[in-house]
Amino acid sequence: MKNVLAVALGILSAIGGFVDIGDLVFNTQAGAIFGFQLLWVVVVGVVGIIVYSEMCGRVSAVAKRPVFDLVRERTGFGAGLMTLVASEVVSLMTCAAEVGGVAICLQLLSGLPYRFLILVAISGLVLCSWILPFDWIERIFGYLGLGLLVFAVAAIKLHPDWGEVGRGFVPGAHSGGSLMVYLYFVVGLLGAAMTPYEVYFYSSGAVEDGWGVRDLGLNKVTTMIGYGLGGLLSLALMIVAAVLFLPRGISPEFLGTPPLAAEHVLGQVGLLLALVGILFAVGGAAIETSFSGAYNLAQFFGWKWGKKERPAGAARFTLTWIAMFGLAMAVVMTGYDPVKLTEYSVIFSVVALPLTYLPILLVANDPSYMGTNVNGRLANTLGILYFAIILAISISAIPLMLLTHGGQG
Amino acid sequence: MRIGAWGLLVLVLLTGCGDRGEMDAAALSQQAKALQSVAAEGALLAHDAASGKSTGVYSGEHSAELRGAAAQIAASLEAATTTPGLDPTRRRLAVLGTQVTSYLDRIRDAPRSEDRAVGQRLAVSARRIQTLGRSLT
Repeated sequence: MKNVLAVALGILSAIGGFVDIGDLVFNTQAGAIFGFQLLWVVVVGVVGIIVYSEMCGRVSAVAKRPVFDLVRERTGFGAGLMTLVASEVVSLMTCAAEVGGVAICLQLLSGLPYRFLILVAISGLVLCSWILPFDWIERIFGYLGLGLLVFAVAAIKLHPDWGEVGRGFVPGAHSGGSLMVYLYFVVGLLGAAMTPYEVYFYSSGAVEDGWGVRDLGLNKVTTMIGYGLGGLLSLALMIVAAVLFLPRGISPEFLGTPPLAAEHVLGQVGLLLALVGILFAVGGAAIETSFSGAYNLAQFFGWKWGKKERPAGAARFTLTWIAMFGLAMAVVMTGYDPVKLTEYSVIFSVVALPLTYLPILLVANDPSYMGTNVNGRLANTLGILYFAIILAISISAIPLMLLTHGGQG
Repeated sequence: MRIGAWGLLVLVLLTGCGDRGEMDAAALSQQAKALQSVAAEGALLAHDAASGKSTGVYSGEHSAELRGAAAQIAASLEAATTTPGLDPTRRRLAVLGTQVTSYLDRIRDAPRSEDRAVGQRLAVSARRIQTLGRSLT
């Protein structure tokens, strides 16, 4: 019974923690431009993150090694260093965007000045990261992030044409924007769903929690059900934008736009739930990205790392995540738009995806690390298929961003 | 080689100077689309505020953000130059941009009882901008 409860709580926090600022931005923009036509991409992205998270959770549980440890070992110092630099830049950009998102949510809730709220956000996030144990951070931000379920309720209450919604799950001809913009959103939605920091954080967390072979079942259930149900929130955001924003010609360029949908359908309660949900989902992602930056650096250079260590016991690790927050604050204090920053961070993260996922695929297939727990036929087929997709989108991401002026057409 | 470099520099400067603030039909259409989006979002926000669905803080803060975007578009439309054939459309869009900016100010500053009227004006502006935008494509 205790185990069932632990699994249920883990799933709930995974659902609440699934959506970050990248999902919010790309899903609502895609829905507002293409209606339901890109729903299939969300499914493809969610299956992709399930496949690779399950794989890296299994590697962490069996080989007791987190992702970046393996990146350096399998790709060598040069390619590993390149991956490290790319990952650190992307983690920092994402962290800055998430911190900006937290400050915007606080502003929409309080009316206080944005730059003051950036300081409040950073202080709160550093304090939570410093004093709260790992599972508490995960649960508090995950559970309160469940406020985003209000978008699922709004999607149902808006009475979309369910036949049209169903057709959106089948890739096909598009209308409403140019082919290039359509492809840009395909890349952006996949990038937002399969963002690398989630994998770094998940695998490092599994090592920190001391996962072993006995936890392989928990790993499967958490990734499949948690991410699967979390993906429903992405679908809901797109459906809501398709029904409410597309007919009015609204192109969501602000983080304050998605809550407008919850407000329109469910009134003040809906608005507050949406704002609180976004606040904690984005805040949780800010912590995850700052820790991912610290995990990657520490694992690459062989420093002592871990949230469970006393801060002084893993001083360089601790200093790195604090520095990530400090740099993120410096970026958003310039006044650069967090939504634009999100778009860039998602597109640049797509470029770094192959270097993150290839070592996982190789190690998950290597019996010298994994023993009898190597990839089965299904995991391998999906792993290779998704690696091909990742490779294709990583090559096309930046040209598409330039050609479409960041999806503007 | 040196002449080629100077020639390139002159060409770049001329091209740069010639393009400053000049909008073609596609650029003007993009501006119209962005302005229409802001006006339509403002209309939705104002209607929700009038129906008591919104909170004062949210409608004030979000309308201020929309207002900033509308003011920026209006300013760039006013400063831009176009071909003579497109200039009347540019000027009408700039005027509508200024109107949308002032309506969005009203959401933040005026009493709640005015929100419905402001929402209707924003919706009308959004439709006019859309019509103008369509005439450009």
